[in-house]
Amino acid sequence: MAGDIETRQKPILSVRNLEVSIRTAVGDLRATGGVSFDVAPGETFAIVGESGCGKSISSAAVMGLLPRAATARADRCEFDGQEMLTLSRREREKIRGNTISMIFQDPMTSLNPVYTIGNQLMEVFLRHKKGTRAEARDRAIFLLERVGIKNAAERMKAYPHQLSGGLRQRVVIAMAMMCGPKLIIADEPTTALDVTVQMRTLALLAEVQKDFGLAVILITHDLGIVASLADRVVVMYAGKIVENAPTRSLFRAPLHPYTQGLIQCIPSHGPAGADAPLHTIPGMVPSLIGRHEGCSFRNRCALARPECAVGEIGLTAFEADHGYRCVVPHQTLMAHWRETEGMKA
Amino acid sequence: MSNAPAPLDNMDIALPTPRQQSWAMAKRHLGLQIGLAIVLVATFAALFAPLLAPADPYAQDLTARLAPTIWQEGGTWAHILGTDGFGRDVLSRLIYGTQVTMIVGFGAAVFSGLIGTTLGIIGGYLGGRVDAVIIFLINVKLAMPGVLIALSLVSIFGGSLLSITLILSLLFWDRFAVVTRTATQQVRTREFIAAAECSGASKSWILLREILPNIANQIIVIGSLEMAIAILVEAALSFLGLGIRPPMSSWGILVSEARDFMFYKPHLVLIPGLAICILVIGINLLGDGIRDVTEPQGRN
Amino acid sequence: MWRYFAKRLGIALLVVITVSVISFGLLRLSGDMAQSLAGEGATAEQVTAIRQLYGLDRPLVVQYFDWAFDAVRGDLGQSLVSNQPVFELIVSRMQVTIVLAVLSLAAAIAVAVPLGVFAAVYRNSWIDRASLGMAVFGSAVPNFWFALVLIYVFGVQLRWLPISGSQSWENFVLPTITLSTMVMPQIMRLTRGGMIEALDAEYVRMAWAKGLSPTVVFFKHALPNAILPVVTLSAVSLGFLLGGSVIVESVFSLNGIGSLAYESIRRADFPVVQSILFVLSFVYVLLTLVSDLINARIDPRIRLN
Repeated sequence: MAGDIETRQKPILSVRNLEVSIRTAVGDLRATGGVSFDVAPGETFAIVGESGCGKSISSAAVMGLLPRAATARADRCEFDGQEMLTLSRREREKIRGNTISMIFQDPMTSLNPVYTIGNQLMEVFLRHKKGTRAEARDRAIFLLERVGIKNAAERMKAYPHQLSGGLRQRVVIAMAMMCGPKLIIADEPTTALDVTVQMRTLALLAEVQKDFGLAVILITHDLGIVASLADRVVVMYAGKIVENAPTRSLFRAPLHPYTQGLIQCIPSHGPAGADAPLHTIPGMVPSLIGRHEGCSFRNRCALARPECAVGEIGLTAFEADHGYRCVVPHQTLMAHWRETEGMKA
Repeated sequence: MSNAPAPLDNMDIALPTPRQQSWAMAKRHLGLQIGLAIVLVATFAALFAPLLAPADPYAQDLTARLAPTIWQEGGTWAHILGTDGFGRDVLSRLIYGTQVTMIVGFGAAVFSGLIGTTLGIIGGYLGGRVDAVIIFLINVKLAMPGVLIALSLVSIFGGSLLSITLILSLLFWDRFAVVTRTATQQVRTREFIAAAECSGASKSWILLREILPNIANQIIVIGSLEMAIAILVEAALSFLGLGIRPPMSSWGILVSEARDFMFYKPHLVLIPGLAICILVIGINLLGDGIRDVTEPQGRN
Repeated sequence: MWRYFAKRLGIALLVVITVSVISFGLLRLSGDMAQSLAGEGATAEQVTAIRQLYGLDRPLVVQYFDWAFDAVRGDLGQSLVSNQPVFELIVSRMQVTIVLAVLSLAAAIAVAVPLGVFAAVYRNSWIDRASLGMAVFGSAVPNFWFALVLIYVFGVQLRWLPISGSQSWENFVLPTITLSTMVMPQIMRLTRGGMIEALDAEYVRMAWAKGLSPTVVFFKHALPNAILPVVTLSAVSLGFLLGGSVIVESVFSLNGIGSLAYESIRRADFPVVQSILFVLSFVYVLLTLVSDLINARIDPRIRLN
């Protein structure tokens, strides 16, 4: 896998200590607390975690697409050498849809129902490139064909409701490619699709990525997708990165108990396969209101000990590019992992 | 709670629970509190009018016509808001007028709520042909010019409290029907209804015990809105002389009677009009407050 | 789409027929029409003669169809008071009311739609609070009283505007203001609500993510989606204003259909009342059909399905 070499390149996106907080009726909510990661050019970088862990809000912060009630700060949030958080509105607009594109969760709703897909594809090109309508049209038809849509010229006149979910997500992928971006942020790109369509859409995304040599940030709750697509992974829990590793290393040696739980949750994981009962992690995600000490996962953790409740827990290096946020020594964590795996066999 | 991968919210953030938010909002919701206060004061005035009113609202005194209010020159404590064209005490007439306003407003809201909610939940729950008939009834109701129908009916059946209340009820049930119908359709698909159906519960039992409590907050919100509108329409009918008949006191009649003196005694028009405004605003604030606090999607 | 409209048209026709039955029933509820036609001191023979002359001795169903066939040909009967044909009476009075209702609706839309958009875009800002405050006041103020206050302030104290009649455009200013406050709050709230919903929608997030300017995001991507229910409400409001102008017309002494209805109700001139109710509901049904057509222009999901 190319990940090891490429991470040493100058990253296309570099985030240090990103914090997002949201004002709510009952107090400030710390959506993310000190998130740091680098994305290398051309790599697929996955951010994994369950609902509410702060993975989508981190990408929204990078893009400047936070809800009004939210504010972001970071020591660094650099895309292609440009600090994103301090850009003016106009400068940020020049980047969005141009050098960074986004793909959202639900293709049913991420296309505007009252305009043709041609209109929506051409719009982003005309906004950022100083081209003519004919050029925009050609580019749109070329990309629609590239993402496997037949009769592309004809389809340009279709409205979103006339296409199936899978086709719409292909249109969204084509739309993300219109200006030749360096980075695509795909936020749960297949969650709303049928399982059969999911795999085809992901394969298409990977294909397009390789063709055009761009980086992808894949935000998902599904480690199964990560295993087949991503070069590197960060696992987030309650607003913090709890583990950070190349994909192969993560699946070989998942250290943080939360990561271990997530891998257990993949339905097809382990020898028992699809017949086994679905695994779940007991307990609930803690509230993010106010300040918390210690590890947020300790209430759900089988290995919890008194130290877990104290102080700020740092990221420990297991290997050079594999870190985990846990007070338990990695030998104990690995022993625990082998034990749960053994129980299944 | 299961932590198997689940569909995510739009922004992917665990927010405080609805109950926490409701309670926190109710305590800070100034509109809700002001609305509640206004409605309570009006209810109190209506219930205890004979004790609160300083004078007999019907007692004419032609020697003391158009007496000034307490803040105007020559005002006396005997007539705090002055007297009207027949020398009757304005404050007393205003307090007694609260009775008509509250009875008609509350009565119309309750009766129209009964009609509309019955039709709405039956249509929403049964669906099919019954629903189609109920939608048709709603369409017919919407197509008829309400105020003119009310005027015609009052002119036929007379302007008693009961007839006005019932006539207004017949005019305002449609919004209840529309809202409860939609709400019932949404509630109906939830699991606990299916569970009740499977356990052999009768239709009426499901409608009354399972569906009604689940749409109660929406009914209350519409009820407050319709009460406010009924109060405005009653005042308008009385103003046009086709509502409550003088010498009975209604806020609409007070405005109508004061019209003749408007150019030199404008306060006689202003006071009852403001009373209507304040009460209607209070009812609306109360309704909006209840909606804000109980219904998460209403929080904008 | 044409099947959809054929169905809508069929239902609309049924609604109009049902309303005509109801307004016909209303006329019969008013008591013995022959008696009121004959007048107070008429003898029993005279009443019977009139009953036969007008065909009031026939079964109700026959009378209804008689009336309905005449109505389809534009013959709505005669006023009991002035003996004028009701159709002519209505046409002669309709103009003032239509002008008033259209002006009021236009004013309401012109103020409420931009206000609703701003309120939604700058949610919880002072402009949002101010417009919500205005909406609360606007839906709470009794219009007859508001009309009197306007007359007192602008007509009597400031002497800027005339307070009654319909001779020039100036006569329409105060009635228009009064009437438009009746529908403005609803249009404002609906625009605001629709915009908020649209602004939270994924396609608007996508529009932001495409780097489009706020103007394009708000007016190209959000507004058309938010405006659909507003179109329907506007059509309904126009119908409501045509029927609801009775109070405003009476306060400002305008000779429109509202004051005609009011006079006729007071004089128990039920052929006129019944016909006005019928005509207004007919217009209302027409307006909802028009709003459906406009919505189909905006939303391809209606147009193409």
